[in-house]
Formats: sequence, structure tokens, C-alpha cells
Amino acid sequence: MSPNCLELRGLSFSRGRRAILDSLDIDIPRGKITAILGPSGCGKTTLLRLIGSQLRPDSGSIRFEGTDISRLHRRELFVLRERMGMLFQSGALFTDLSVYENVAFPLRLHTDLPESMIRDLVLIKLHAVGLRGARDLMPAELSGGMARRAALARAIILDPELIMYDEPFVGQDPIFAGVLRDLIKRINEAMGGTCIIVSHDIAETVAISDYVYVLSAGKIIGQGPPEAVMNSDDPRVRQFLQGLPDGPVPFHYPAPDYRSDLRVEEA
Amino acid sequence: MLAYLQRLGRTGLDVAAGFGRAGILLAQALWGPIDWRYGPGLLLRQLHFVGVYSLIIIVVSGVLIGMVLALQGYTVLVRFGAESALGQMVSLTLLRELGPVVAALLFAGRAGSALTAEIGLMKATDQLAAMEMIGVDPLRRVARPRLWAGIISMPILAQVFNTVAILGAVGVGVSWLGVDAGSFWSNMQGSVELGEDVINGVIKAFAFGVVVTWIAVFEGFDAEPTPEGISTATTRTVVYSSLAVLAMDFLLTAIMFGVD
Repeated sequence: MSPNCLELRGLSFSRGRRAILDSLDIDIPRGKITAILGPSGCGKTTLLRLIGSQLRPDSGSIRFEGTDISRLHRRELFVLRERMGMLFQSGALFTDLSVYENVAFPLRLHTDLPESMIRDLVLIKLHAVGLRGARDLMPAELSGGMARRAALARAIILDPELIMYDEPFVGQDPIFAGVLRDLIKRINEAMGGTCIIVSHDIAETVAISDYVYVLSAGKIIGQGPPEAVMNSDDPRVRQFLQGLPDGPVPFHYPAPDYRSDLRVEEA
Repeated sequence: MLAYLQRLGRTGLDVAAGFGRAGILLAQALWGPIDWRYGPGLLLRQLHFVGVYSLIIIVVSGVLIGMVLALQGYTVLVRFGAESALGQMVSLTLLRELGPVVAALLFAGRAGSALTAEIGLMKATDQLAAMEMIGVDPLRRVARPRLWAGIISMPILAQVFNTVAILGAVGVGVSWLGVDAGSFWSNMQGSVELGEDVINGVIKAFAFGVVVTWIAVFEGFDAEPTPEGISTATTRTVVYSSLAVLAMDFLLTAIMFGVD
């Protein structure tokens, strides 16, 4: 059995004429935390949508525990997705259900557990994210950070084999960013599940990752264990990791020459 | 010229693709076994949301339209001394045409737009994507109960509309303008046929219910997940479903009552 939970080979995806991902090869080792770092708009979220098969790749394969999910039938996909959890950037709680019902939702649909057990499981997960007392609130009453914690409880309620975190640290206060970081680590150790964290928050992410990919403009520009990537001498990787405004990754969106655009010569 | 042709071709392809997506959505939402995990609660909630909440506008409009019909009909009929035929005129107009059509237009404005906006917002806030990732098909859980609620509610709403409109006409025609109650009702009774008028009206309302709800749900799922996208989709729902109702009404009338 391959040591990888997920293997992406030659994965390409484009919107219109713009290539978002360009023949990526990525291995996600089982039971480990893998970080995919990169600046905004480099195709990170698209990558997660491809893994969850909400988008279909133009070419290439996505093997999840040996099954090529880009070839699966719609019905088979819905069964397979029960083994995955995803934490959306916005949380994506169902606004017509309370926090408790949101977390209970996957259990009610995919299991025949008695109500008392559902209650216990939901309260355990809510306790883990610190929201046991907020169970009766509606999503509209939660702050952004609380909504994401509730969504995390929902994402892990079925103890999935693969958990995907889309920008988990964005917009979190430092306390909760730290809590969340420890939580992701603890969940990974306790459940032995595989984690993918997609983020541009380098410090928080690298601190808990076992392996790091750096993505830029749809291509992998660096990969390896965290220390190796942090000490990489590739100029593009260095620019991103050190937060330099300009370098091989351009600060400016492609534009005509500045002087001629301002009509300096004519004046 | 070439650019114009290209645009024309592109628009044509887009329209065809839209019809295709709408067809696939309808098939995937309605096809397949009933999933009891979702329970009857979802359908009941949508029946409440789509049907019961539309009652107020349907009842108020029905009464007013019945009153206007009676008033207008009376002023014409009384010139020929035929005001006793008011019941016949009002009931046939309502059962065959006005009931299903006006109720469907109101339904599109009240329930159709709400469905589109709700589903569009669920899409914009990633709730549909989250549902997919949890392993639940949004077409089954979101689209299906809403489609059925619309299809079930519409014929009932049209009949409610007819009933209150006739009562409104009685109020104006009999109580106010003094048409004889006996001749009003007996003329109506003598001229309305169950198959020709009542059933055909119900068939029309059913067809309108399918089309309006289908357009509303499809536009919601197909909306661009942005504020402008949702507002455009909501407008499109009202415009397209109103036009579809009027066009279908002509077709159905031609088939049902057309000259042989």
C-alpha cells in the first residue's frame, strides 16, 4: 500500500484561457499534515475544490486511497466525500440551522445513531472547539472566528480520513489562531487522519506541518520538509517566505509601460 | 460583421447550454428514489414557505380582481339587460384564464424570486459546496423539496384565487349592484363544465407551477455567486417565468379551447 493518502499527477485546470493549475504533481502522505503555501490567487482553493471533486480537472489524475476520483460517477462521489472533511474559508455553516444542528447534520444523514449518542458526539466536538455553550445560537449570531470553529466541529464530526483546511488562519485573532493551530495538530495526532492546510500564513502553518509545498502561479516552486523549504535558496520561494514586495513574483499586474501610460513624454 | 455573427453564435450557444443545464438539473433533482433520511420535514417546510406565505397576496389580489371583473362586466352587460349572466362571465373568465395566469404571475413574483435569492445566497456563502463535501447532493436536499413544493402549491393557490375572486364578484355584483343572487349562481352553475373549465384550469395551474418553480430553482443554482449575480438571477426569474407563463397560456388555451 502506498504511503500516500492522495496522489496528484499532471493535474491541470484552466478557466477560459487562463491556466490556474499547470500539470501539478503532489503527494499527500497519509497521517501527516501537509501545507500548501502560496500567495493569494495562485490556485490553492481551486486545488482543494479539485480534490473534493467539485471541479473536474482538464487533465491529470487525482488518486485518493488508490481510487481516481476525477473519473468517479456523481453518486460514487457523494459516498466518497463522507470520508473527507473540509473547512471552508467562510465557514459555510447552514444559516437555517443552529450551531448544534449544523454539527449534527452529517451524523443525521450518514449514520443511524440514536439521538442520545448524536448529542454526546456533537457536544464532544463542540467542546473541543470551545463552543459547547454556543450550541443553541444561530450562525448569524456568531462572530467570524466562532463560525469557523463551529464549522471545524462539523468538518471533523464523522472523523474523516482526509481533512482539508482552506486558509484556516485568515481573519482570526492571535489567540484563536494559536488555539486552532494546536487543535489541527491535536486532531491529526488523535485521529491519525491526513491533513492538507492551504494557506498564505507561513509562520502558523509551517509550525505544525510535516511537509510543505510552495505554489506560485499554478506551479510548484518548492517542496520539502519545513526546515528545508524555509532555508531554500530559490529566489521565488525566498521572496514569498520573507514577504518581499517585489522580486521574481511580480508585484505589478501586467501593464503597459508606466511612463507612456501616464503620457509623460507628451507633456 | 464577423464579430456580430460571432456574438450571435455565442449567444445562441449560451442559450442552448442554459436549457441543457436546466434540463439536467430538473432530471437530477426529481429522478431517483425518495430519500427518507431527509424526511417529510423538508417538503413541509418548503410548502409552508412557498405556499402558505403566498396566500396573503393571492387572496387580496383575488378579491380585488373579482371585484373589478364584476364591475366592468356589469357596466357592459347591463346595457343589453343581460346582467344576470354576470356569474357566468366572471366564473368562466376566472377558471379558464385569469385564475391560473394571475396566480402564476403573483407566485413568480412572491415565491419564485424568494427561491432564487435564497439558493443564490446559499451558493455565494459556500453552503451548497459544504453540503456537497459532507456527501449530500444539494439537488436532492435543496432543489427537490422546493420544486415539489412549488408544483403542489401552485394549483391549490390558483383555486384559492378563483374562489375568493368569485366571492369578490358576488360582493360587488350581487350585494352592491343588485344583480339577482339566484340568477347569478344558477347561470354560473349552468355554464361551468367540470372537465372543460375546472380541470383545464387546474392543468394550466399545474403546468405554470412546474415552469415557474423550475426557472426559479435553476436561476438560483446557476447564479453568479456575487451580489450582482444574485440580483440579476432574481430579476431573470421574475421576467422569464412571467413570459413563460403567458406564452404557455396561449399554447394551452389553443390546445384546450381552440377552434376545431
